Amino acid sequence: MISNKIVGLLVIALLLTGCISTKPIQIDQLAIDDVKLPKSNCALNLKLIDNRPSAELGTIGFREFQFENYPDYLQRQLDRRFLQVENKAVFEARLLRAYIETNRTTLSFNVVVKMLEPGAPPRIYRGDTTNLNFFGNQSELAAFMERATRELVEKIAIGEGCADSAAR
Amino acid sequence: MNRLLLLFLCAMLGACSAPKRMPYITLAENARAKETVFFVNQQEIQVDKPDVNAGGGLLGVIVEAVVESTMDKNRQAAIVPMRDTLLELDFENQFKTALMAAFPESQFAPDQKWVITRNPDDMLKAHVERNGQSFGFVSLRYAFSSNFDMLYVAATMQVGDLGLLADKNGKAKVKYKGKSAEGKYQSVAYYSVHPLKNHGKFDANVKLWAADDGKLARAALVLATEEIADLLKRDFATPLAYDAKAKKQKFWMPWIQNTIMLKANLVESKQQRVLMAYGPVIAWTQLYD
Repeated sequence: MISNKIVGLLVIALLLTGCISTKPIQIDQLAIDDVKLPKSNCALNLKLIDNRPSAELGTIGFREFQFENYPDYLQRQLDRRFLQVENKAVFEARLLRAYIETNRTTLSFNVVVKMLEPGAPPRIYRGDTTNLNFFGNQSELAAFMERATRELVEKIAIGEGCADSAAR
Repeated sequence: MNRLLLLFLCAMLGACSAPKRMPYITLAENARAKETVFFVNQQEIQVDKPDVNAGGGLLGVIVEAVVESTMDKNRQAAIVPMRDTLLELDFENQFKTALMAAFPESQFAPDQKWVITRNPDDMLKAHVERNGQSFGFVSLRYAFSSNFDMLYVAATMQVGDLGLLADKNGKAKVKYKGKSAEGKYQSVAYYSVHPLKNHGKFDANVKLWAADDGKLARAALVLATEEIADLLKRDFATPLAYDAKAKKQKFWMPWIQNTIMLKANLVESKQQRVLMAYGPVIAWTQLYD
């Protein structure tokens, strides 16, 4: 307990003397790849609506984690994964959460989407990943977003019956 | 890191100083807080990070890192059904509404504005921007203990001349050091801790919390909100003080994620929980047998 207090006080001292940065960590668009998933033959027109209570993507330690327009990135991954057909109904996919969380020695990224289809109960899909953080560089941090997004897209594919190439 | 952040908050803002309570000052009408900075650094309910002590040395550090990362992964996986259940629950807003209703008129102006900050940088900037005026500050954390055997809500509450200065690089720095802070602002940390009956391993515990659409967790969050709002009202009316003559007892305190031996004042008890006051820390918690 004493060591915890000492660590806590040390953190304050360092933070207020400027030794601990609170400067946001900005992830460049070039640091993140599109998720590597095959294009499905299954038609699924999804319109992503940003319904998050906060547009912030969480913090790593004392620093805000920033990535410009995560909803655009996610919409692009959905469009890459599923076939868009003009005359089919467009489903509403509400983005409810997208954030990074700092754990003891790992980081987690969570992304949650709620699928709304007229006449059917809503379906919740969550992509989440927890991994050790070694270097904290842009590509390593971007990979957390990428892995969680890939898991989410795959869960949507399975849940919406588009996991294989069969037409929906 | 969340624990450090909470420690940082409570220590920076005075809650970890020696157990000493000052009577609340009634501010002149034009000096009452017109704004409250609300700090919430989480987007869903969290689980405390497991703390492993594998001894000293490099080997100990490596063992700790490996074990803690495995435990982090297990906990993050286990909490998913609970988070999904509470997705539509706007706990932040419920908490804010309850606290606003409990704010004492002696300190806060009516129809005050709440400014939400979600990261330390914005929170510190909000303190710098409001330097020279009286304002309120509330930090909120709601989480499970690392074994999911307890759910707790923690709130740091402050009001007064809380502003921070900016150094030449624009970074926030403290305005009052040591005793010069006395009488400038009030700091209290309120906790409401809810133990799970018949708890076992962490994965079984989280299933109990999440069962029936999260009935137990929802009830605990509602009760915690009511208790903290009630504590705020009571404490501002008559500060619940530390009792130097109190018997030393062991309590479970979430900010250190462990039990702690304190000579705390046992104010009252209900359903196997006690209300304890230790300086500026007021908690509905459990005695450790």
